[in-house]
Amino acid sequence: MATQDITPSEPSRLATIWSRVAGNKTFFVGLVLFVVILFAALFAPLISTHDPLKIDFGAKLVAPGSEHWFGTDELGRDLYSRVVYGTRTSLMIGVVVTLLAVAIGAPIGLIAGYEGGRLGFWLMRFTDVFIAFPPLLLPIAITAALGQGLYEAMLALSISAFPWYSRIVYSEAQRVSKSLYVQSARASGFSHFRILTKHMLPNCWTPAITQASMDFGYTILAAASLSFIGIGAKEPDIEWGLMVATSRTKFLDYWWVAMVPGLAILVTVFALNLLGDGVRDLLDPKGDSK
Amino acid sequence: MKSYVAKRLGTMVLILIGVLVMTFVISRVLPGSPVEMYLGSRPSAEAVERVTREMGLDRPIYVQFVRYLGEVVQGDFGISLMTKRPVLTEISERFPATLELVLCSVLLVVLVGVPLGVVAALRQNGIVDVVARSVSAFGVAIPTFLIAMMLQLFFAGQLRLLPLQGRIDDLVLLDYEFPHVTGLYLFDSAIAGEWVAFGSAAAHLVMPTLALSLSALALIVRITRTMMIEALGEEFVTTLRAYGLSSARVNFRYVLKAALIPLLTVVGMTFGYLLGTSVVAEYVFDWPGIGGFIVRAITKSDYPSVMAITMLLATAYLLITFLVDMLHFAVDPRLRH
Amino acid sequence: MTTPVLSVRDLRVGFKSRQGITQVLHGVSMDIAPGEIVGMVGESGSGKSTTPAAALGLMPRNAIVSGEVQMAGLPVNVARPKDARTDTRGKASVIFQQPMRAFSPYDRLERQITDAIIAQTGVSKKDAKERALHGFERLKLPDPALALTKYPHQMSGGQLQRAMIALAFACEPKLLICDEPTTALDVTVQAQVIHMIRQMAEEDNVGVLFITHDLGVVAEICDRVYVMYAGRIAEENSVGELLGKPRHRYSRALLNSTPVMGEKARFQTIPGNAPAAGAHIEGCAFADRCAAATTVCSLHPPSKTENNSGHFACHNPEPVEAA
Repeated sequence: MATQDITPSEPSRLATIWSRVAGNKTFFVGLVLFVVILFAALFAPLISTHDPLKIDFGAKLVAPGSEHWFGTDELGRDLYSRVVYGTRTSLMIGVVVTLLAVAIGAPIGLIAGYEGGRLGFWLMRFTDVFIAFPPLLLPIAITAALGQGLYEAMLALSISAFPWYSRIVYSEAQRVSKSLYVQSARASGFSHFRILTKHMLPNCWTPAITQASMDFGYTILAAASLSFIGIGAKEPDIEWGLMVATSRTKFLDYWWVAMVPGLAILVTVFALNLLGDGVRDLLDPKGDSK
Repeated sequence: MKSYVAKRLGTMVLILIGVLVMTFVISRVLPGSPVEMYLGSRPSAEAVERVTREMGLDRPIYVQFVRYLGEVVQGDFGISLMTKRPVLTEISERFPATLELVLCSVLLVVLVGVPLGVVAALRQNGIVDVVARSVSAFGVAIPTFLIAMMLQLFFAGQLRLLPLQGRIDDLVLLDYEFPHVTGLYLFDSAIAGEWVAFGSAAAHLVMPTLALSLSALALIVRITRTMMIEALGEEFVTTLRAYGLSSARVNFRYVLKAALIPLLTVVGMTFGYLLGTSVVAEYVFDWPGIGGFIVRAITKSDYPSVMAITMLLATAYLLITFLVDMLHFAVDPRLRH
Repeated sequence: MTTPVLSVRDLRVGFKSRQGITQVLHGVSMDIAPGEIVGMVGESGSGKSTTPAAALGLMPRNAIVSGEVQMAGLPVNVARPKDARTDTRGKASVIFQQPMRAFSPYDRLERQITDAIIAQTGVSKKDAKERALHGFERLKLPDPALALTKYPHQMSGGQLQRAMIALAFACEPKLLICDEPTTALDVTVQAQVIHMIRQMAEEDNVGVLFITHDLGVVAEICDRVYVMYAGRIAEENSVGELLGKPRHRYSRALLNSTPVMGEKARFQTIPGNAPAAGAHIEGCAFADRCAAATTVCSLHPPSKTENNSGHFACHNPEPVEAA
C-alpha cells in the first residue's frame, strides 16, 4: 500500500473562509444568535433589569409584563435577569467541559495512534467501555460518587466525553503517522515530543475541533438535564435546567416559570448546533470524519 | 462466519468486564468512602468498623474486585438504602415499565422516522423534506424534560385530554385486573381482553413516549435522509437506470436496501440513547420504572442502587448492540461472505 | 450503405441552473456502423461521456438537448429524455468505468443482471437467466453457474467487468457504449477485457462506441476515432490515419503526450486547462493552448474540412508530409 503524502498544515486562508461563512445562511443565523448570547453573558450586569438572586415574596409568580419582562418565579425572582445570568453558567459549562474533554482525550488518542499496535488496540477497548454506557448514566454514576454540585457534574461530563475525542484523534493519528512526512521525521531522529506536537498534532486536530463545535450544544443540554434531575447545579447557582426543575410544582398554572428558562435552553442549543454545523462545513465539507 | 460471531462475542465480554471494573472503581475508589456509600452519611464508628470488615475493605483491592464480581454474578447488588429491600428486587419490579416505555419509543422512532427520512430524500426540497429538516433541527435542541413538561402543560393542563403522570389509573388497575404476564401493560391487558385497562395504559403512554422519542426521532430522520441520498447517488443506480429499470423499481428494490442496512447500527445506538434519556422522561412523568428510581436514589444517596442500575443498563445496552450487530451480520452480504 | 447503428447530427446539450444555461455540447455529429469499433477520446469535460448519455436519454432533469439522433435507422427523441429512453430500449447497452461499484453490493449478480436483461428486452425470467448464464460462459468466467449466485464483492474487478460485458451483450444490443471500461482495472487485465469486447462485437456485429482518454487503447482495438475538445469534435479519422498523420493541433498534442512503447519518451503535456463548461469562446476553443494558433484562430470558429477518410476543424492544421 503506498504511503499517503501529507503536506505540512497550511496557513489559514482567511479570504476563502470568510466567503464561505457569508454564503452559508444557517451558519450565519447561528452566529448571530451566538453573538447575542455571548453579549448577554459578557454584559449581564448591564442588561439585567433586576438582581437575579433577589427574593421578593411580594412579587411571586408574576406574569410577564412591563415590570418583569419574563415574569417572576415562585420566590419572586425576576426571570429575565436570571435567564441573562444563566447564559454565563451555560457558556462556561460548554467551554470548560468541551475543553477538558479535548485536552484529556486528544493527547491520548494522538499518542496511541502514533505508537500504534497493541497500545492502539487496548485504547480502543478502553474507550469502548465508556461508550458502552448509555448517555447520562455515566455522569449520574460519577456525580453520585463525587457528590452533587455544578463542578462535580462538569467533571463527570468531561470524563464521559473524553473517550470520544480519543477515538476521533486516534483514527486520524493512525493515518497521519503512516504518512511519508511523519515517517521521515521519525527517521531523522527528532524527539517524539517534537514529532507529536509539530508534525502530528496540526494534521489531526481538525476532526476533533469539528466534533467539539458540534458537541458544544449537546453539553449544555446534558448539563441542564443533570441539573433538572437534581444533580449538578444547586441553589444559588443560576442554571436554566435548575430553574425548570424548581418550577415543576407550579408550572401547570404559571407556565412561564418553566417555559422561559426552557426556551432559553432551546434557543441556545439550537444556535450552537447551527454554529457547529457551520464549522463542520467549513473544516470538513465532504463529511469525511465521523 | 462463526469467527465473526465469536469475535464480537469476545469483544462484548471484554467490554462487559470493563464496565464492571469501571463501576467498581467509581463506587470504591473515587473520593467518598465506600463505607459511607453503603451506610449513608454520618455513620457511627463501630458501624464503620463492622461494615469495613464485612465488605472486605481491609483486604487488597484485587481481592475486593473478585468479591465484587462474585456478588454481581449471583445477583447480589446489595440493599437499597432508600427502601431497605434488595436492589435486585427493586430493579426487577420496575424494569418492565421502563422496557415498555423504551420499546414504544423505539417503535415510534423507527416506524415514523425512517419512512420520513426516506421520503425526504426522494423528494428533496419538497414539503416533507423541508418540514422534516426543520423539525429535526429543533428536535435535537430541545431537552427531553422541556418537551415533556410542554406536553403536560398542553395536553394534561389545558386540554385535560391525557393523564398527567403515572403508568395507569390506580382505580382502573384495581377494578379491571389482568395477569401481569410480561409486565408490559399494553400487551398483558390486551391478551386478557381487559380493554378499559388497555385504554388507560395507552393513554398514559402517549406523552412519555412522545417526549422520549422526539430527539431520537429528529436524529433518525436526519441520518436516514443522508443515507438514502448517498444510496441514491451510488454508481449501481446509474447502471440499473441505464438498462431501463424505472426509478421506482430501482429505488424500492435496490436503493432502500443500500440505505437501510447500514442504518441498523444507528438503530442500535438509538436504543442506547433512549435507555439513557428515559431517566429524565420517567422522572417528569412519575413513571414507575428504573429511570425514575435512579433519580430518587441519587437524591437520597442510595449508592448501591445507583451503581447497580448503571451497571445493568450498560449491560442491557451492550446486549442490544450485540444483537443488532448479529442482525446486521445476517442481513449484509458483505459481512457474511 | 448499411444503416449506421448510431447516427448523430448536430447534438447540443446545455444544463439549466440558477446562473443560466451552461452549454456543454456544441453541435456534435457522428456515425457508427454495425460491427465497427469507434473510439472517442478527449480530456475530462470534453463531452465524450455526455454525447452518448444524451443520445440514450440519460440526462438529468435540468438538461436541454437538441439534435437529430437515429439508432438502427429509427429516430430517437433526445429532446425529451423519457421518450429517448423508450426509443432506445433494447437497442443499446452500456459498460461503465468502475465495475466494483457498478453493481449493488447487497444483491446477488444473478438478480441484478436478470432484472436488467428483462427491463431491456422484455424476455421472461427464465430466458433472462439463460442469457445471463450463456453470457458468463462466453466471457469465460470460471464456474459460470456458481459465479451468477455470487455477490459483487466476492469477485475481482476484472471478473466483474466481464460480468458487465456479459450483461451488455446478453441484451442483444445494436450498439455498445463503453465508458472508460478499463481505466479502473489492473494493466494485465485491461488487455484481456478490451480484446474480449472487440471479439464479441465482431461476432455479434455490434457497433461500439469506446470512450477513453487513452490513445494506446484506441490504437489497440478501434477502427475509427473521434477526438473531442470542449464539447466539439476536433478531428475524426480512421485510427491509422489519425495516429500517423493527425491534422488538428489538439490531436497532435494528445499524441505527443501519450507515451509509446519503443520510442524515446517525449512527454509533452499540454499547457493550460481546457475551457470551463459553458464558457463562451470566440473562435477556436483550443486557440489559447495551441502553439500554432494564428490571429484568425481566436476570431472565428474553424469550419469542417473533409479529407480522405474523415474530417477536422482547424484553421491552421498540421501540414501533410508529401507521401
